[in-house]
Amino acid sequence: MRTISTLHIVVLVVEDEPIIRMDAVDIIRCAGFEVAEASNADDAIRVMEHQPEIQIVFTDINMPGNVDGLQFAQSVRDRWPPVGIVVTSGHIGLAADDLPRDARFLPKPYGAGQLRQALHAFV
Amino acid sequence: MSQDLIDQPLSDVEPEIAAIARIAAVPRILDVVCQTTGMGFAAVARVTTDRWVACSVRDDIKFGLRPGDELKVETTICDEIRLSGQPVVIDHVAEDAVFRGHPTPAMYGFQSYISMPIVLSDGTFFGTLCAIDPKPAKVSAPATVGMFKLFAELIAFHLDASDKLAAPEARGVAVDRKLAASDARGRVADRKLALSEAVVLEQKSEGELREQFIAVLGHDLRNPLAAIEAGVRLLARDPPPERAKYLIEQMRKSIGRMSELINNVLEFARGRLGGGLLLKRDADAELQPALEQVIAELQATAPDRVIEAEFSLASPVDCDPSRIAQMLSNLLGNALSHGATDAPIRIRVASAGPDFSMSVSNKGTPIQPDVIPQLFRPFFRAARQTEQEGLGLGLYIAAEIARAHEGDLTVFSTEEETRFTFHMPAQ
Repeated sequence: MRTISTLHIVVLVVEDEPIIRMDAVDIIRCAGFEVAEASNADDAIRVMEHQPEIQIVFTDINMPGNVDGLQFAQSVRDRWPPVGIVVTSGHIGLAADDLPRDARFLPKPYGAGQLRQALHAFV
Repeated sequence: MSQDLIDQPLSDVEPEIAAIARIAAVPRILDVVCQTTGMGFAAVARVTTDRWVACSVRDDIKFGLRPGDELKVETTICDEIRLSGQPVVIDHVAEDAVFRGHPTPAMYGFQSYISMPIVLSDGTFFGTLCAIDPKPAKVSAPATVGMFKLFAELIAFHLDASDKLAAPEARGVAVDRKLAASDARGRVADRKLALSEAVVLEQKSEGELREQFIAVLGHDLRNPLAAIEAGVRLLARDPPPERAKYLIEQMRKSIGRMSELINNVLEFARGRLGGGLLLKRDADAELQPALEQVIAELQATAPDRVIEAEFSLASPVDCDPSRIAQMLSNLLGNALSHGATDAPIRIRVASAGPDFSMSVSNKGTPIQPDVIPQLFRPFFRAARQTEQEGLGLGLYIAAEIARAHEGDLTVFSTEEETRFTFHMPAQ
């Protein structure tokens, strides 16, 4: 299923919980973005390496694998500095210091509007 | 007012002030007290044989007391309440036969007064919930006295709970506080602050547990909830039947995870606050069907995994079958989360003569030897957690169930297999 993109901006969604990922993908597609998906940070790094057109990453923090979402976000900031970063988590006590520079935080559970707004900040 | 404040180190009442500060309801209780009685000052005070210290205060009349401030206990009526254990209620001092000539109202300039003792569940006197005002007030109305009584009981309930969850501040965390605390023991003996170094250290870890408990609960329930919310949103968009079926299946898993988390937390709270697990032992009860049901339930959540179960129950087992089933559920859940996905999980349940045993084994990366002693501690989790993992209470509760049955739960982990084994006397 592909929706005609109006923005030509690719967002990478990194989330291990299948329903949440499907939902995020739906919301982001409906907002006019193109979407790439990964279910853990290791895969996400590979996707980043193969799809240089990705302009925004939207990542969860707690995920299985060797790297968590925060470490992934940090490596995106280091290796692909212009890429916009939105981090989400059920943890509420996250300090700004924990996030990479210029990253945005979206607490879980988030609404469609909140997610769209967070992504549009990078458009 | 200020001349009556005394300047004394707070160290020995600090834990009590902190314990009151942790009760989120106290400021609201003081608000309600002031609004419903029309009185301008209300406080929760810690009262000991020789001290009166304000723990939490609402002061609309510039009485001038702040939390931590202290009055000479002998100048307060609260001291009498400490001795009698009875509330004191005065609508109008000038017209009160007993208190008309009492020095305290004159000294602090109040006409109406109510003070309700806060008594902990073990009968020890903590202090008072009290209110005063320079004007008379109808505080002796049964509804008002009843409200104060209820609030005092509520505060005592919270203090008991925080005591039992071993809130670090309330019971003294740091070893360097140990001296101050034991020095103060004579004065606060009524709170049974038995602070040996071992106890302090244990409480420190329990305090950390409490913090983890809150952090983890906030996070771990939110995750499956977020999944359910996402599922509802996706279903609302009328997906094709196959996708809808998949979504519903995933949502069921999230709901299952939430109810397991809630059960475990309740179990933990009951175990800690209610003096251990209660067992309904019944030697004639059918154990095998209860265990088979657990296996079927967990198999349904992991259809691609192989679970092999072997039962040989030759003699009856004097146990609580639902608890043993719960233990199996926790052990099997653990094997499903941490075991190799491409090898079967083996369950063996056997009773022969005086012995009952139940084991769950899986293949996969062995548990590090230094981690093994911590496995059965509450809130323990492997270093890397995923959204699917629980609160880290599963193995702790399994061990508690084993203990309640006078049995033991042990673990053996090598490259070949990781096996948890429960043993108990069958009769």
